[in-house]
Amino acid sequence: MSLPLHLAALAAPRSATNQINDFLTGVKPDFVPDWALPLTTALISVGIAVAIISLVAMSGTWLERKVSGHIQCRYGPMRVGWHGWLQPIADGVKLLLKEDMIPLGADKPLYLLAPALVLASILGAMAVFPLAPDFYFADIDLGIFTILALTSTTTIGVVMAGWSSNSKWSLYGAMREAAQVVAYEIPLGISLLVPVMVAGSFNLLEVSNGQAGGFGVLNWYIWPWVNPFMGPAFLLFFIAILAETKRAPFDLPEAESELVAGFMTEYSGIRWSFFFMEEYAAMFLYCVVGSFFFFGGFESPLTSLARATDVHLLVQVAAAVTIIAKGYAGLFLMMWLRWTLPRVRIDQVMTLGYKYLTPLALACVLGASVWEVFLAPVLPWR
Amino acid sequence: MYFDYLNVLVFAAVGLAFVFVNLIIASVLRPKRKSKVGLETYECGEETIGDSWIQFDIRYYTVALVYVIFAVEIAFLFPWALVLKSAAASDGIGVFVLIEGVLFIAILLLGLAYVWCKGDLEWVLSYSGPEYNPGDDRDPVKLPNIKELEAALEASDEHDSEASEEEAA
Amino acid sequence: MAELLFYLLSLGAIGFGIGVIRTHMPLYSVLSLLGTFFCLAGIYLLAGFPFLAATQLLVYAGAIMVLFLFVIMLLNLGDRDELNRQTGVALSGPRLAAAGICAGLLGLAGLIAAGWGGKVTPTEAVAAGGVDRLNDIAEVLFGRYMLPFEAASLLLLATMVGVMSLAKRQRGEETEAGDTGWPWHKGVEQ
Repeated sequence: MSLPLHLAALAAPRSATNQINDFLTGVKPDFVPDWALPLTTALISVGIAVAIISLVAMSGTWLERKVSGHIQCRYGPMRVGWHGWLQPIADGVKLLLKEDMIPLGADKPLYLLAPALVLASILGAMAVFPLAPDFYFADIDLGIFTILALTSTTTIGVVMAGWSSNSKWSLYGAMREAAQVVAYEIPLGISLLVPVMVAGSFNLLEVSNGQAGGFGVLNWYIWPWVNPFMGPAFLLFFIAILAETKRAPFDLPEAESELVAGFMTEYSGIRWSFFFMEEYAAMFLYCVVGSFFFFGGFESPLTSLARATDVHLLVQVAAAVTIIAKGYAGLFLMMWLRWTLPRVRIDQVMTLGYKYLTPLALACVLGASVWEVFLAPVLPWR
Repeated sequence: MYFDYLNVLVFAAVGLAFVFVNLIIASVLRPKRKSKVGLETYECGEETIGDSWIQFDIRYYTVALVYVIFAVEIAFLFPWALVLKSAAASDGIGVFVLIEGVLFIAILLLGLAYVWCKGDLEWVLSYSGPEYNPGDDRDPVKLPNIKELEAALEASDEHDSEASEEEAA
Repeated sequence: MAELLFYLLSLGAIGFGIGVIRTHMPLYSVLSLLGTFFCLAGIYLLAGFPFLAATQLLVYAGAIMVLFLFVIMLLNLGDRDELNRQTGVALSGPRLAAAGICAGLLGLAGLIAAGWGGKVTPTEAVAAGGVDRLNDIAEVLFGRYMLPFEAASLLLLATMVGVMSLAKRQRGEETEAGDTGWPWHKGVEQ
């Protein structure tokens, strides 16, 4: 049996601009087989991605404590390093040194597999996130669709963790997580249709390119002169990602004041930290997705300035700084909201998701599509 | 093309491996003094009563069913959103594709409206018995009469004191 | 390497598929099903249909979660003896024979299809415009297959209505039978 597979296509990245692969091709000794090249590229990329996730999680925990501290007129961590910036490392060491507990009543295989499944799917989704216009891990035309598909598997891991712990708290957490996903995955997907419609692409790089020009600001999709339905769509998107990432006011699956720690009550030490890592990675990833599809992606005045100098490296660095800054701005907004809004009740969660967000998102899509077909072609600035 | 997807797969595989590598590293460092008490299910210090693998009453099960249907809808609508712009650029086709999509969304909105009107989006309460009136016989908490209690207490006190007097004599 | 991947994924899909019916724990069955879907998505990807693969993950990840919920809702998983009695298909002669016949028929159907329609090469059919060109899929979907596309929405509508009435009917019987009669259960939040 012969499969219609192109081995050559498997062995080489589609575009020649993958910098890691180019570099490796340049330095490859003759005795190394060709197929080792993409694999090495992938491994190096994944190393970078793991580093990014770890850094985001570490800085995220620090930022969360500082932000919550200052919002409540406290300082937050101050002891380890200047303003406690080494606190996440101290926490990491503490977590590594903690005892590993697997509760006697737990369903062991599922209990062990759950954090791995959660982390694997979020890391797979991270592969789609481009760091700079010419520095990315996977240039996939299905970009956003792949991200949605992979992040939806993380919830299975969460429900699995909650159920396998065999604790009442965990079970409640898991059931609430399922309720939230069931209610918010739909508006999340539908609200993303609006920018996809305007961009005509799923690929994050292409979406970013579509917003170039206008001093790096004026062509962002969020502006009403691009499409007036974009603003409402972004609001819906933002509410949905708050629920998807289990952030307040939708933090019912964890709900530390009522469910101890929700689905991760029985997890401790390093095993527990994986869920935390996933949470911050998912927050960052969704914020980055939001900035790609609504707030210009790589485009900012900084990037336009760098582009004017015509130095390739400078443009890449400016773009990377832009996207990371936008991601962190989103993180900050999420933390701010956590200390501002009270938690909603579970039936309110479901009502909001299905009776308000879903119909509104569909209405946005309808309006935006009419605008795109009838008005966008005749607008002078489009 | 495969390279890019291969990358995603490698990322996911490393994500799996990352967990276990970290656990192995931690297993060298961390203490191992397992006590049975530490491994018990956490219930805020109380001893656990029973399994939590119970038949859980999921109130939003109808919504969960609707969710699967809407997930399929999203999978259909994404390609539609993708081509709408390029279709609008060429004459005539844009309106055609628009009507197609609008019809699709309208039919599904009809479904949502149906489910909504039928009350399937409501939070289902598990109890479906007769109305609960606090005053009726089924009131589970029956408070004892305080005056009766006091009288009983006094009687027993008197009895006690009489008994002790007799002993002393 | 691609062939090796294909065989690995196929083996995985079959293995997980057997797991679905062989395991005694209903939740393990559900997760085995997830494994099967992952492997199938991998095969779609290898055959050059990334959109199908991603859709498979997106739709079935949600569906698996709903299945998970329904297992928790409908079965009392703490009662192991009861579960062992009810689930897990025991291997027996007739059952093995039936499985063999089914597999043989499926294989035969595949061979006939391959012989009838020539060699089945999905990528070659699509590859003219590039395998991962999503726009091509979309144009075919909204041009040539416009009516099936609209029919799909009607099908989804019918599914929604049907599922609701079936679920409600079952639910109605259940609550009547399991009416606790405890007044304080009313309005208890989860």
